[in-house]
Amino acid sequence: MEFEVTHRCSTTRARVSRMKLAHGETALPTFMPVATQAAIKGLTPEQVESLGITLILNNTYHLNLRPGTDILNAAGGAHLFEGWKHNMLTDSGGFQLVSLSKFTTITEEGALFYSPFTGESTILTPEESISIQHAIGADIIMQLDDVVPSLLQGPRVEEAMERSIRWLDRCIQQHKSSEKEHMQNLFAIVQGGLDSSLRDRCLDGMLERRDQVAGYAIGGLSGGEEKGVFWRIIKQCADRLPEDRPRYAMGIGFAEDLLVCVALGIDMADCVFPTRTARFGVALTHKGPMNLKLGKHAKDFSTIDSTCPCLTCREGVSRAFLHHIVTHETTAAHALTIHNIVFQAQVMGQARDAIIAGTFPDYLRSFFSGYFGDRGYPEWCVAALRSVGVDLLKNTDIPVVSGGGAKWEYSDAA
Amino acid sequence: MSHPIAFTLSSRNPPPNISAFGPRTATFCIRNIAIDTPGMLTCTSRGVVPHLSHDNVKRTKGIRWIHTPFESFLEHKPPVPTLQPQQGQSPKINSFLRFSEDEYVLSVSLRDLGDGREMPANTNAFVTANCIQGVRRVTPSDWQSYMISCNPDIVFSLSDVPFTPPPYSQKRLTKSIERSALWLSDILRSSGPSPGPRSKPSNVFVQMAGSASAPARTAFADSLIEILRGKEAEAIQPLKCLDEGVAGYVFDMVPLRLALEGAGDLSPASFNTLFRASLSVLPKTKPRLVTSARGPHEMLRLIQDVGIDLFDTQWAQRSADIGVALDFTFPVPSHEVSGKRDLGHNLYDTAYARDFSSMMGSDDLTSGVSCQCGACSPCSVSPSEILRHSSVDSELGAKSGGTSDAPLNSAYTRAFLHHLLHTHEMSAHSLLAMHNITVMDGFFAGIRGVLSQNDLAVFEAETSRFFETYSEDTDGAGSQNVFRAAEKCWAEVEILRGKGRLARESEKEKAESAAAANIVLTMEMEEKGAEGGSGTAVSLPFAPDGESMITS
Repeated sequence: MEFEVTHRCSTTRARVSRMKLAHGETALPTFMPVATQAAIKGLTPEQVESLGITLILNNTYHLNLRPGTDILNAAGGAHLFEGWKHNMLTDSGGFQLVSLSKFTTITEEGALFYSPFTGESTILTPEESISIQHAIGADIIMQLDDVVPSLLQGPRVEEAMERSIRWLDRCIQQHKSSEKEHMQNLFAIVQGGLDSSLRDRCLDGMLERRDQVAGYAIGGLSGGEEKGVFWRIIKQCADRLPEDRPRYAMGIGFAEDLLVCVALGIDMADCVFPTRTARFGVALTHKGPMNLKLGKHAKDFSTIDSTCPCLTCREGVSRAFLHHIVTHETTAAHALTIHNIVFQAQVMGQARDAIIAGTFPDYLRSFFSGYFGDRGYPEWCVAALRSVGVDLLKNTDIPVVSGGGAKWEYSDAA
Repeated sequence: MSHPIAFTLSSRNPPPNISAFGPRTATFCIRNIAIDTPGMLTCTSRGVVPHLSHDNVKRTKGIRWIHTPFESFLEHKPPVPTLQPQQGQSPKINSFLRFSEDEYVLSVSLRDLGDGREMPANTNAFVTANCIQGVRRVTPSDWQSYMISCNPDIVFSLSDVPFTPPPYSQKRLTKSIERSALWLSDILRSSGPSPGPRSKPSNVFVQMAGSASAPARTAFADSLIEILRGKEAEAIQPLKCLDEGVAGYVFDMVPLRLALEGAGDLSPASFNTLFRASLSVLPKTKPRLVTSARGPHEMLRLIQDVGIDLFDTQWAQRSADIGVALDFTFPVPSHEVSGKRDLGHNLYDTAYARDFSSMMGSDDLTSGVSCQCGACSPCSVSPSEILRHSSVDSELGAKSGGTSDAPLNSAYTRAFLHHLLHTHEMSAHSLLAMHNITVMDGFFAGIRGVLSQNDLAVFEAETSRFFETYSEDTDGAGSQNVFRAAEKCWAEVEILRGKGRLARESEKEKAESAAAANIVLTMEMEEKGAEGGSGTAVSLPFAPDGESMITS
C-alpha cells in the first residue's frame, strides 16, 4: 500500500490522503458501501463503478459460507468472481460474532460458529480468518478481533480487548507467512469497549506493532452506545493513531457521524445503513432522510434532490413514481441504492474538496445547518466539533437538542 | 400530438403470403423509432421493467417497445400519471415513467395481460381491474380520459375478457364481443366533454374477442369492418367502420389458454384455427401482436402458421425471475449435435456452482455468436461518465483509468449467478433479465434473417431443426423440466431468505419453544405421575400451530 496524506485541515484533525492499493487509488476520507455477499444489493459492478466508487467492502463470514473458499480459489479470488475491478476490503468475520452470537462460542483458539444453513460447526481462528481473506483476495484485510456488544461492561470487555491484541499477533504471523503480503494489507482493530483506559491499553499494544500493520480500525462502536461516549472514543483513538496510517471507523454511516469522524481524523468508514435504508424506501438528502413510502410523496413530481448528480435524480425520476414502486419493485431499491451511495460519496467528496480548499469548518457549518436546521443540532455533534475547534453555533440561532439526533421521517404527520 | 404508426410489410415476404397467414417481415415505425418484425415488446410491472434500473434498460438494446399495464395506477383517483406536469412535447406517461419518447415506443393496456387470475365480472358500464388495494371499476369514459391525458403511443382498447372459470356460454361470448366492440367505438369517439387537438388517443390496438369460439371470433372481426350507420356512424366519424381506427390486433394467450384448457384442447392446431378465425376477414396490413406466448416454440408456430409480427417477452422475463438463463439461438448453429437440449439453464442447480463459463457457455466460442447483454458482455461506462465526487477523484481516475474507450469486462459466470441466486441477491435477476431479453432479441433477429432469404422452405426447415434441437418449455415432468425445477428452487430460497423471513422465523421459534416447553412439562407431569402413581392423560397448554397436543 502507498499511503500519503496530501492535505490537512488547519482547524480540525481532518485530512485528505491518497491510498494506492493493488486495484487502483482511492481518495480519503471515503465511505465504503457494503457488498455483503459479493454484490452491492441489486446493482452490477459496472453500475457501482459508474457512481465513482473505488472501494467496497465484502463480508468474510458470508463469503466463507457461500460460495466458500474452494470456489473463490477456483475463480481466482472475489474480484474476478464478482467482476469488481477496483479496491476491496474484507472484514474478518469478527463482527458476526456479535450480530449472529446465538450461533457462536468464543475460546482463546478462535470463534466456534454453527452454520445457520447446515448446523455444522466450524472454528474461525485468527489464522483461518486470514486464510479465508487471502482466498477472497481483498486489497485490505482485517485482523480477527474478539468483538463484544458495544454496551457490554465488566471483565469480558477487558478479556476481549486483550485477546484482540493476541489475535492480532497470530494474524500478523499468518499474513507474513503467506505470499500475499505485497498484494493485501492487514489492518489492526482497536477494541476496548466504551472504557477509555481499556482503549488506551489496546492502543499501547497495537501501536507497538505499527510496523507490521498497514492501517488501523476502530471497532466495537456503533452498537447503540451514547453518542457522547462514541465521539470521545473515536477522538481518543484517532488522536493516538499514527499519522502515516489510514484510520477506519467501523460501522459508521449516518452523515452527521461521518462528518464528525472526519473532523476527528478518520479516513474511512463503512455501514450497511445507506443501502439497507434504500431498500426500505428511504432516500438520503442534505435535508435529512426522506421516506418515500409516505403518502405525502404520492403526487410530488419533483426529483429527490435537484442538485444530486446520481442517475436516479439526473434521469428525473420523481418522488411520485418512486412512491409508486418502493417496496414493491426491486428497481425501486436499485434507484434509491444508487442515490444513497452517491449521497454518501458526495458528502465525503465535498469534505475532501473543503479540506483541500481550507474551508472544511465552513463546510461542516453549512452541512449541519442544512441537515439539522429545522429541528436543532444534536448536542453531541456540537460538543464533538467544538473539541476540534469548530463552533456550529457561531452566528446562528439554530437550537441545540439532546439525544442521538438521528433524523427519521416516520409518518406523514412528522 | 398524434404520431401515427407506419407498418410496412416487406415486399419480399415468402410467396404463400397470399394465404394471409404466412410468415412475414415488416418494419413498424412511430416517430423516428423503427422496429423490425417479427419482433418484440418488453413487459413492465408497476411501470418498470422488472429488475432493470433505467441505465440497465438502456444497456439492453432489445428494449425498444415497452408495454405498461395501467391498473397499478388505479390506487389513486385520478391516477397519478394523469397528474404528471407536462414536460415539453413529451407524453405524460413517458415523462412519468422516464422512458424517453425518442428512444421507446410505449403502449398501455388497462389490465396486466399476463394475469389470468379470476376477477369479478365486467358489466356494460365498467371493466374490473386489479390494484394493490383491491379491485377497481373502470368505465370506458374513465379509460378514454386517462389515455388522452397520459397520451401513450399506443392504447389498448378496453376489452371484455371473461376471467371466470370456463366454459363460457354463448350468451357470455355474445356479450363479450358486443361490449368489446362498443368500448372500442367509445375510445375512437372523437367528441368529448373537452374537445381539443388531443381529444382521442393516437393509435388504438384492439384485443381480438371471442375466446375459444371460432364463430364468435369471426363475428367480432366482422363487427370491426362493418360499415356503421346512423348514430353509431356519427359517433366515430369520420371513420366509416371501427377497423379504420384500429392500428393493430392483439391476441392474449393467457385467457385463450384458460378457455382451451377448459375445452381440453391445447393443441397448436386449435390456436391456429382461432387466430385465423379472427384474422381471415381483417386487412392483413396491420400489425398482429401476441401477449404471453409461452416460449420460442409457440412463437415460431404462430409466426409460421398465422403470420404474427410482435410478441411480448413475458415468458423470458418470468424465466429471469425464477433463475433460468436462456440459452438458445435461431437458426440453430450448424454444428449442433443430436439429442435434445433445454432452452435454458436452471442456475440454482448445484451443477453450476463451479461453472465459470458465461450464461450461453461454450456456444460463444464455437458458434462465434456471443451474447451482447450487460451480463455476458458487460461494459464499464466511459471514464468521462463516471461520477467524480471531489477534485482529487478526477486525478485518480486519470491515473488509474488511462484509456478513453469504455473497456469490455469479463462475462458474469454461471457460478456467480448461482451464488447470487442462492444468497437471494437482487443483482442475479438484473443480470438474468438483461440476458434473457437480449436472447429473445437475438432470436427474433435470427428469424428475420432467415425470412429475408425469401424462401419459405428454408424457414420451415430451420423451424423444424429448432424443434428437433430444443425441448419445448412445457416438455418433461418435475425436475426434468428446467423451468419447473427452477421455479421450485426459487420458491425454496424465497421462503428461506425472502420477504417475511423474520416473521416466519419468529413463528418457527415460537413453535419450537412451545414444543420445548411441552417436553419439559410432560417430563414434570410424568415425574409427578410416577410419584403419585396415577397415569392420567395430560393435556398440555402450549400448542404450536394451534393444535392441541395430547400425550399420556
